[in-house]
Amino acid sequence: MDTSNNNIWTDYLGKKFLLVAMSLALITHGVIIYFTLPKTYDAYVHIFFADHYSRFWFEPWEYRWYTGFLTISYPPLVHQMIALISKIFPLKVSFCIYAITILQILIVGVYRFSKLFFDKATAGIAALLVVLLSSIVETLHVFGQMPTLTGLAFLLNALPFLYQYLCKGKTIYLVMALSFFAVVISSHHVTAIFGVAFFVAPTVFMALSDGLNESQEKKNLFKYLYTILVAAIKKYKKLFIFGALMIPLAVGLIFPYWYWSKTDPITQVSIPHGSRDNFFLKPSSGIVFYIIPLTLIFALLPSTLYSLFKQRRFLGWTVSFLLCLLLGSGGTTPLPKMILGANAFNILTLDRFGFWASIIAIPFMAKFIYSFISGGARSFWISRFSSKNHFLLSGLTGISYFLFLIFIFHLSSFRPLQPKEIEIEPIVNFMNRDDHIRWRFLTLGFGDQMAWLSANSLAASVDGNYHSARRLPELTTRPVERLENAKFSGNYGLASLSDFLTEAEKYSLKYVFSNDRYYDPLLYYTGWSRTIRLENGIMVWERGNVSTIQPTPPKKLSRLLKYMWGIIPLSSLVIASLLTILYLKKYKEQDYLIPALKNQDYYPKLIIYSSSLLPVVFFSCFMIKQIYELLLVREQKDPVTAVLNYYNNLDFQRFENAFHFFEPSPTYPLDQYLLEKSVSDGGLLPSYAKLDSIHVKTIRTTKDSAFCSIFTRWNTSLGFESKTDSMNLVLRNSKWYIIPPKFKIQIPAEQMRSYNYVLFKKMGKRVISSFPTVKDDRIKKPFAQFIQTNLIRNGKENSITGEILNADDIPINISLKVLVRYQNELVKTFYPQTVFQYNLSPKSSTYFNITLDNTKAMDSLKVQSIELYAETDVSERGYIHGGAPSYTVKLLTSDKVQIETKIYDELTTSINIPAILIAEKDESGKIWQSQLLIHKTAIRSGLSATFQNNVQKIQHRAIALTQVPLSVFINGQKRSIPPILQDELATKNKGIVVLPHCFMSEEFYLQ
Amino acid sequence: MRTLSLYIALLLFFYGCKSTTLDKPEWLEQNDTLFVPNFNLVFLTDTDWNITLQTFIQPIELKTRKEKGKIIANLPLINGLTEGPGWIRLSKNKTYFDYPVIIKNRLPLDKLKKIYRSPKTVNPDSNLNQQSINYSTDQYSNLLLVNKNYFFEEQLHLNSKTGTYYAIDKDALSTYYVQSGTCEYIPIKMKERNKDNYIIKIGPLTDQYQNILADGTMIKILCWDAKSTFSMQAYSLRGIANVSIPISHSRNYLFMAQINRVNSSIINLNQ
Repeated sequence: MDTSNNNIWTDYLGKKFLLVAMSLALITHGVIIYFTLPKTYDAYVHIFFADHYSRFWFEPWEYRWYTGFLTISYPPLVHQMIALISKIFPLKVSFCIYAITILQILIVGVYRFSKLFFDKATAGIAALLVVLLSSIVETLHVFGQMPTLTGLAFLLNALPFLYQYLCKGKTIYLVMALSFFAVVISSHHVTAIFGVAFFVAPTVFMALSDGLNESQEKKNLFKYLYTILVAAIKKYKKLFIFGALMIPLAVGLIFPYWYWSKTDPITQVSIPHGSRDNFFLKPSSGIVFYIIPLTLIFALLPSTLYSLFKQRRFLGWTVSFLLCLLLGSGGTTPLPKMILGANAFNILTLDRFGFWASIIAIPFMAKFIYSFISGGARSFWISRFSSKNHFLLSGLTGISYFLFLIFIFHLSSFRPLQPKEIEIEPIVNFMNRDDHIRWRFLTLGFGDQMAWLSANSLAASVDGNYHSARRLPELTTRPVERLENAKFSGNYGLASLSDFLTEAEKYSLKYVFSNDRYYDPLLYYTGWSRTIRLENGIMVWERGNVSTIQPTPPKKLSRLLKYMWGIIPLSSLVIASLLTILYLKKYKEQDYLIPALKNQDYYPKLIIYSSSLLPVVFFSCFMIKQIYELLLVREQKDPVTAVLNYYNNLDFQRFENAFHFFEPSPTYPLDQYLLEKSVSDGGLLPSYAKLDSIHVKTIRTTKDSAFCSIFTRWNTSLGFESKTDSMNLVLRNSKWYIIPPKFKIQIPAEQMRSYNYVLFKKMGKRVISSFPTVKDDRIKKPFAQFIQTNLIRNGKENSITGEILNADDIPINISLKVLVRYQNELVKTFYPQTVFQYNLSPKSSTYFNITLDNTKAMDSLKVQSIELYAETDVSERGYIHGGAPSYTVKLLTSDKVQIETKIYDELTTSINIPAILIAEKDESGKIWQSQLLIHKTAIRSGLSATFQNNVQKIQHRAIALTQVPLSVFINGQKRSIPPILQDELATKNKGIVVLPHCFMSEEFYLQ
Repeated sequence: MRTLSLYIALLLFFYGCKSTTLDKPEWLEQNDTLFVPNFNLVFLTDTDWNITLQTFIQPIELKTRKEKGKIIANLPLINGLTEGPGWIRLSKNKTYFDYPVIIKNRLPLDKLKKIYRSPKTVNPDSNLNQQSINYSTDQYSNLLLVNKNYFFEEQLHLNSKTGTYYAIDKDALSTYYVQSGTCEYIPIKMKERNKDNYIIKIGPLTDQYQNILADGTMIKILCWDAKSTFSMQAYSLRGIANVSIPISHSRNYLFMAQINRVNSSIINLNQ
């Protein structure tokens, strides 16, 4: 065939494919993205940043997260562009418009990038591949990583200019390359940094290689590398100019970012990320971060590697591709950690390397696909197996890949990444009314939608969704991603959350919007009260005695840097766009390359077989595995599997599925199971816990029956709880079934129950005006009185114990705080955690126990004085702590007692978490310690439950420190403490007294 | 020619962006004191100024009309304002000029009597003294002189009876409150014994002045024998609480009620 005719044809075909790709992207991704956006990991974070720029373009201080942070901690271009579009369209639509525009630029980028390697028709196929490539689909629709895509789109467009500059030496190419690199730098710093290593270096290498003549290329590898080095030295001027201009661009364009990272370096404990897992040990991470994005790459690996190794000009790309593939494998092997170093390994999310590997592979995959569709590989198949078989194989591959893509789009349905969509308007309205915006809020169980809420409100949260900007010690000292999803960070997460909930005053945190009842026990026992359930089902928890947000001065930043940040990054895009128009009009040339492309369309037999068959095998196997897991797994093949699957269904509250594990019986239908469950279930473990681990031990087994013991560990917001159950199983029709346990029902004597208590209503602002509350409407601070306070030292532990009384006629909310003043002027603050009743009815009292520093720290620093502060506030509700406990105390040893508590539920609702607050008193009535003892299951109205706890008494080995001055203050006024009175009841009960401290989920009681 | 037309367009563009400087208008018959109502402020100017009167609590937009190089501003439909320092602000886009004035009402306005009581809530456990500050204002919150004084202060000794009292008749915002104090004595008796429960009446609960204790006051109920202790919480309503104790919980138990540190007598439920 005539070469020029062939070029015209491939040119035409390439451009046609490009246009088809761009149109296809518009009608597929353009439509879908609006619906996938709410379920992505990152989209809302970028929308929040965009909202910031939309409101405060030249002010980088963002006060809404983490008590304030600087937005110069992230390159701004993407966010600023979305902010600009949002001046016309709503934020979500703006994000979608921006995303689809970037996808179009990326398609053009891949097309141009692929032209560096092969002809235009192959580049057209590469452009089409962008629309369908799983890694890009996942990055866009699952991760929502817009800066990564923006950076990549412009980087790929920059590379052909750089290549042409090095090959042809014209200044316009240098200018164009630099202008596109400028956009990369302004969009995503990580792409800019690693792009140099993984994309720019191979491009330079290829340009140098293409400058060699054929004889130089044919030398052995070392000689060839030496020749490249010589060529680089010969072109040192061009390379130097490029490098010398790139460095000031990289520094200057986002100088405020470098300034921030230097002056306020990130010093926080690394947050675990699935991309750093060992994918063999955690297959779920492997599927999301390695298998899904790279399946096609692995399927076509033989042809890709063949193409890469076939030409020496691709040597740089080969190294880059393999290195990216290796780094993307996370912690599966120790190599990535060795290569990157422990520090970078623990900071970076490694899935991006796999993503880049997939991008490098695109031209080579396109090459084989093109060959398989209409080139040499197709001819090979047809000559061996007829065109019918080739068509069949193509169809099967296409269908299986299409199903695989659909699976990715619906990934969030199969493996929910986010909670269901939450209507945010009721929350925004709540924060806007009655000056609620003057306090901070916290969301729980919102997922990334917390960023969407923040983007729609000016209210401030203590939490946030941009980890690098966190500076609060409660967050940076623990590997916790967000407070909002603390339960997924185990003990560390709950410790951080607990710190914020108990130290709410420190951060003016007054409202918690909870979308997950898992956190209810922790909220209740740390002094939070439910106040209202919003129309969207979100429960609002409120904390009393919290002062409004104090003005925090923003971190100082010179006005010049602020203007730089607002103007320069955006200018880079404007300049790149103008230059592109100029380039297209005046300078564009037909071909990039000086040497003619070696457009060989040959693959060895083995490569054709493997690369043709592997895709259909891989995708079919993947889909078959998914279908098998969803539908065909034998869940009752043996007793252990049956029990494990039963608990799995229970944990996810799929009760109907769980019921099917019971032996079918006409006397035990689903109704009966649910009924028995409803009256016997409930409480901390069944209702507010997540199964952490399970171990099933078969105690005895016969041919058709088994008896198992099940050890479960549950993660609750109040800590881990363990439980041991036992189950009998029988074999019926090759399936193992659980025999329903015998149901022991407790029946209350009464048919109707009544319970009296008084409802209170705080009238609040009586004058309807927009002015602040008039003095006449302010309610006085309620009266309270310390009955006793003691500083107790028990070995290494120190604590303040005591009792405080609500001396007023109204229910009150009390907050306690201990200030320990050391001799070196260090002052430390401590709060009661769960050992305290924060809401008290008139004339009721509570014990408290506030843990201080350990003995070593206190003695070495030398305590000067201790101050105990109580602040009181009027409360409307939450003062009923439920239950009527009777208790018996047995002495186990001289220092150990067993408390047998029987709590009778006299209320008209179930007690969901029965608990008691105990105090250990001596004969004089002094309190030595207090503890919260919780029972794991609920008590129905009119019934009672008995539980036992062993308590170590400390009064015989602990000492009461009296030499340290201890002052008490109530509402800022110094108070005295009355003498301690003997407690005969305590003396009768071996020093133990109890108070009921139960949690009722019934909202009427609104604790 | 094309290049030239480009330059011309650019020149026009930059000229269009140039902002003009506005001069400070002259206020004819300027006076330090502004008497409200019925004033006309006349400024010599050709510009359409937006004119506001800023009192120290709020800005009020004045009504303006233009007349031959003058702009005249007044404030119709208002009898008076909060007196004190203020200023007239003339603003146009980002330019503004301020003219400080002292605002005074021209006509005497209605006199409103005010009484402020402190503390508003009194507990007879501490003391029943209260400070009363009497003063008068007009409807715009301007303090008025009464007998050559703005304020009249007196110390009052309140009645010990609990209740909500009005310092000024029918003025809900002037109310003050006398609460009940600490419980003095806890009467207790078994009211009845039915098949399942003992019903025990606690109360009437009063303080030292025979005031009924506040609704919702928590009463700790304690039953015990040599072996175990049963505890319960009840809330008083109009000074009385009826407690129902299941018989199963109270065999041979002694019973006592407790409010803060005050204990009732101990009764044996089986006697």
